[in-house]
Amino acid sequence: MGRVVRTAVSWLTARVCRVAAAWEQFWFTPADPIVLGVMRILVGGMLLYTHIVWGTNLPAFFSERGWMSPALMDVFQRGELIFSFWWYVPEAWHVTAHGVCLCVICLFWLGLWTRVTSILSLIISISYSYRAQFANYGLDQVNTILTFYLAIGPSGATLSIDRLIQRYRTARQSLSVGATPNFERTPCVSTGLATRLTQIHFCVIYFYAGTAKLQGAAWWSGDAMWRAFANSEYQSTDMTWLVWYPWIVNWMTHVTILWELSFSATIWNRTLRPFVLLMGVCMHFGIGAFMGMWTFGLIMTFGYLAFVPPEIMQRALSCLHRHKVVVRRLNVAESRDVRRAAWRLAFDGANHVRIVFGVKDVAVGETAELKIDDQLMASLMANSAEETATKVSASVRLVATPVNGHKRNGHSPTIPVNSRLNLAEERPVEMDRAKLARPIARPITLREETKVGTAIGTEPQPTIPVAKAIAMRPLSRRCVLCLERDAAIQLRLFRYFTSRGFRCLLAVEIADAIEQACDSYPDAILVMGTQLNDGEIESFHAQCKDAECNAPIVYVLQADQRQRIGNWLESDHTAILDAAPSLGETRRLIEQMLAHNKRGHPAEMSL
Amino acid sequence: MTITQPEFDAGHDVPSLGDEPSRSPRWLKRAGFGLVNVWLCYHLFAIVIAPASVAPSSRVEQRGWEFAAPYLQLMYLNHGFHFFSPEPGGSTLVSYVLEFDDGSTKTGRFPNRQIWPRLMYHRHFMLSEFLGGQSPERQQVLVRSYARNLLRENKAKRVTVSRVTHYLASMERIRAGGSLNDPDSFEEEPLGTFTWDAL
Repeated sequence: MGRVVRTAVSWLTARVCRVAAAWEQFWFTPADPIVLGVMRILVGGMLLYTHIVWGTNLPAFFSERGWMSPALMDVFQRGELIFSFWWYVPEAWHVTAHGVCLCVICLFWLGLWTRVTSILSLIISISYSYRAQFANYGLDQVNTILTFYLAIGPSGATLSIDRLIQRYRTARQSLSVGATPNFERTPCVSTGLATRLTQIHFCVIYFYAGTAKLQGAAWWSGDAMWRAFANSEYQSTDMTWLVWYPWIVNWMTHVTILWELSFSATIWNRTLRPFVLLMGVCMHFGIGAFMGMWTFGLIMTFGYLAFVPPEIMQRALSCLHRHKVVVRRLNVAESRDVRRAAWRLAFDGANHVRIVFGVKDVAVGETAELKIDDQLMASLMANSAEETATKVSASVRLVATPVNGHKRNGHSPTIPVNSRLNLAEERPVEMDRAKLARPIARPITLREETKVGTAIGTEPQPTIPVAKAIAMRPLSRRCVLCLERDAAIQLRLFRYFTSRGFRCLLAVEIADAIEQACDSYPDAILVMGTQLNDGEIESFHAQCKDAECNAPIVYVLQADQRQRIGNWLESDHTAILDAAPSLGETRRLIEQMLAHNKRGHPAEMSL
Repeated sequence: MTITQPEFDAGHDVPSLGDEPSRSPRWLKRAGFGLVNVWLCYHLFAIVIAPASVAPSSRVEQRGWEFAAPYLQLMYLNHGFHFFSPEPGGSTLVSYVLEFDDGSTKTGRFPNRQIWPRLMYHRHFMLSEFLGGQSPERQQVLVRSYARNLLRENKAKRVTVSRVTHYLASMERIRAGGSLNDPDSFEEEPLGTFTWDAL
């Protein structure tokens, strides 16, 4: 009996744990705020427009002798827990109060002090809605809902003035010490929460909009859409031609209700999602075009953005930028130049500007070591040496060779460096972002190949010993590659490292880990060896050596594993931990190794 | 380099709510995380019960509404989302006749297509539609308020307000040569005459 109870309790505990984990994963997975940023611009714009329109006739809607007198509102709102600051603003101050509200909403729209202005915008939206309650409709409801969720998430973390200021400060701080700033956004839990809440709320909206229609005979008989089009107070386009094609009306009615009823289920299917959203966009744009409710149609489609994955949004936004890389040289001794460069980097949301620090002269024939990020490297790889050289008026040409000898297409790319380059000069290099590798820094060597003036496409010029040693530090967060077979531990590792500012790559198999180590150039590798056999660990270690992967490797081994193969794995770049260390100590060890590796790096030494 | 302490502590990987990793004590983070979960459950319950409790609804749903109403009202989330349901119907308009001190009169109706922008047109349409769905007692309160605004806006002495119901035209009617705005599709019902003094 006791055994049965224990089994039942154990089974129940496992179930509860699984549900709790799924709940946490659904609601609290960190997400990139790019989607909220785009939604803030669109919803904030709509909120601003809505309130500007209120302002066209303030006395009619907000004064005591307007459409909705205090006595009237008291009859309808008595006993309800509602708040509107309009009840406390004297009539003489209505225009001023409205102006202040518009300013606050405008700041929210632009993304300045967003954490505060988003909450104030929500209060403003609620206050206007309750004061002029009988003049509201779906637009105001959805406006408030979306503003509420934008106030929960960090909607000003991107595409905002807040972000611009933050980028400027980061850039200035980093540039003043000769480092390339790291602008990468950290995924954040409140973003995921706000996005999920928006998604669920839209499911609720459509589910009840659909089920409420089931009570009406016209939605069953197929005539409901005609009744909507035949309402001449709504109608903005003459749709009476539809009487000659009743089957179109029937189809539109049935499809509308089926779509609304199924939205909350089909939207979660990745394959169906684009079609479901497209159908919704068509329906709401139809409402806008034929029934004149463009504002309502648009605000509903703005909410659909919550269903768009951040990476797709980022890719869509990248298409808006011109694909070019601009290389700039900076003298960190000039604070004015640093400020200017910081502003340029702050405005460069697409990270097209590369700052090159001129720190040391290199004589002709010498080799200089530099660290360069993969985006610039890939841009150079994507263009042949000749192509690159003809696009810039370079006076010196340097050959860039990765330190570990990694070459593509059998040749080394060429970096043109102009000694007379200053901040006023832009040097665009056309690039294909699709070919970009992940933005992880790795060392490459520069070797001056020719004398001045030999760059293809330029006239010969006098020789000047101007080639500069350059240091470019990583543009992105530090990256840890974790080799682990247990999915639960993988998830913990991922969440732990990402929440601590790392980028985390995960691999299950040895081959996958080696491929990622070669392609993504992680800063450190964590091998959870407890689920690997000795042969696999040795094989991984050997393959890393063969691939000339210089990243420090931390092996987590069982005591007996350590005895058997520990000595073989020991090296300057490796560390071995006894099984199951705490995450914090593993991270600290990785940070120590990275710091040690950084101090010993020749490029950093040259600074 | 060797590290012991053989456990992955769940407390280490509770993600923070901000952009930067949090430095708060662990108990505070856990308490905050718990509170967020409680609020989340309540919020989900509330946003579901708001449309579910719209009539016709069960007693359970009405009880649920009572539990969630303060929060929904405060956050302006108390919506039914019953768009065009149970089925799209006719419209309610408000027509009026204004009398001025010099004896002249002016007739009008709202909403009308002269109201611009379109959003403002819809605001006026919602005012008249709201009138159509009320009981006679509440209609009187509404009409007095509307009449006051008409007198204020037009600086008139007296106003007579009527409710106009615009019935929908059937497909057959349009096929037979009718139009959406045929005079017999409008029905007018006087709601009263009001002066400043009476208001």
